[in-house]
Amino acid sequence: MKNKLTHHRNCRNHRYRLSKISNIVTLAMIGLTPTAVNAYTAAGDRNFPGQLVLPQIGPTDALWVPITTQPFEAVNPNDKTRQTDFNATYSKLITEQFGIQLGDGLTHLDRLHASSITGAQNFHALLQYETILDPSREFLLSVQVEHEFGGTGDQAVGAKKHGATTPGVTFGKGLGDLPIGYWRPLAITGFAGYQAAEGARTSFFQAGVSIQYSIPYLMSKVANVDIPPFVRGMTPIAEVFFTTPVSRISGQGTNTTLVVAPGVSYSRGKGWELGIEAMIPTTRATGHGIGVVAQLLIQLDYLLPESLLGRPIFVPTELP
Amino acid sequence: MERKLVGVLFTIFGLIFWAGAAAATPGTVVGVSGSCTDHGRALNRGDVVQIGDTLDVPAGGNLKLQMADGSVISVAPDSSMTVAAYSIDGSGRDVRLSLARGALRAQVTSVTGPSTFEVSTAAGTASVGSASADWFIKAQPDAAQVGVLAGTIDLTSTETAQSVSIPARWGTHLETGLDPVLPRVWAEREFNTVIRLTGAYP
Repeated sequence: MKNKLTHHRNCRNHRYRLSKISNIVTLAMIGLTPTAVNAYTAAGDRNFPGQLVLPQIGPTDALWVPITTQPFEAVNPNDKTRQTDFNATYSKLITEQFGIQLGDGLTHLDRLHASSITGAQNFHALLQYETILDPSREFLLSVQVEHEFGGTGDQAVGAKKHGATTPGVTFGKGLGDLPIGYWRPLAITGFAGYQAAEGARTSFFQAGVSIQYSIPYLMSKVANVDIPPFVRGMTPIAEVFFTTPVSRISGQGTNTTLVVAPGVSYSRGKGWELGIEAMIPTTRATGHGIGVVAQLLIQLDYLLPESLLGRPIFVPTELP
Repeated sequence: MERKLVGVLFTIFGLIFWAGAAAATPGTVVGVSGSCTDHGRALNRGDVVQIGDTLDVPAGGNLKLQMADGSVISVAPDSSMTVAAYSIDGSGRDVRLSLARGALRAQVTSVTGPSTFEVSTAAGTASVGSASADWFIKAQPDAAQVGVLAGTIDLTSTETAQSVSIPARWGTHLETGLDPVLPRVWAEREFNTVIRLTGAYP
């Protein structure tokens, strides 16, 4: 998943070491011994909803379309006063636990004393491997590597001339296996990655966590609470995403960004999810004022389960 | 002309007779292992299964039924299933099975006309939501579990009346008194487990 805060950053000159990144990813994949796995962002009876700010925690057959709008403090003419991003990511399973994501988007900038502009973002691709799935503990962990293809977007709206590669790890843990009563619907997810930039671009460390309370889990695993049908599909969620530079490129900003995004995800198990979150920036580089992100996620594996769009390309053996 | 008319009449009467016979005879035992019984009567290959029959399969046994509509029902070891209703005729199908314990696989064929094909357990009822389906249901003391190989199955909680639709390759389960768990993709090993459970015949 593309870092949604990329456009808030400036860059410095940094030498990209591809071999070093490859080694890190290889070591991560070797060190995490595969266990029983399957192909969805679910661990046992825990369904993890699609995330709006953090990367999705597991590979799947899905399509998601987030729209983000964030106000900024403009001082000089041409400074942006608001940035609105329209993104789309297609996620495809290659095997039951290995998938690829392809994503792109448009950025619209409103500017101070200048006309607004719209341009393409850089294209990006991500490979993700679900390494650990422990259904009884509602735990899953994936390793991933993402590449942003530099120069494929419009630099006028912030797309970088140089690309970047981000190896990372994601996880999800439900608390349903713990004897904590009405707290069992709680779950946490997390992400950590290192965005290694190519050429004259700053490299960043990225990390984030989310905490979520699944009402569907409450109603199906804990207690039959008398609540309206609409509420039964809600999962209140709060995401926090953080980036900080790890290299200094002369002449380019090196600002840390931190966004807190509380909101709600809605799903009734019908093959789609709708999420909306407030984007609360906590640093000047992140934004100025509260933004909003909304996302529609289409579960192709649910809606088209027997087509190639909805199932892994390679399945080990045919079921009878 | 008269010959043609007689032929058509014979065909119509034949179809009516076949439909009536099919309605009266829901299914036939085509595979049995272990001491499977129907109300205490030992079941053998070729026996007819009637509406109201309760079929018990012991631990280590298996039972396979060929139904009048072409559907195949495979009952797993340590199961008890009752045929509450099984009617099939030119106007549609109405099948209601009750699974007190154990598991079964239902390979449901498509028919012309409206169709109801459902299996009830203590926790909830699973019904075929597509024209045909190949699916599993497992009844546990306080829960029911459904996995779908082909087609769509709707699982509804007896107590809360909330339901979920389960597409092919997906599954879920339902605990007594609660909503169904949101479905998820089943791994191949999960399907293999229930296939082995319902598929061992001599």
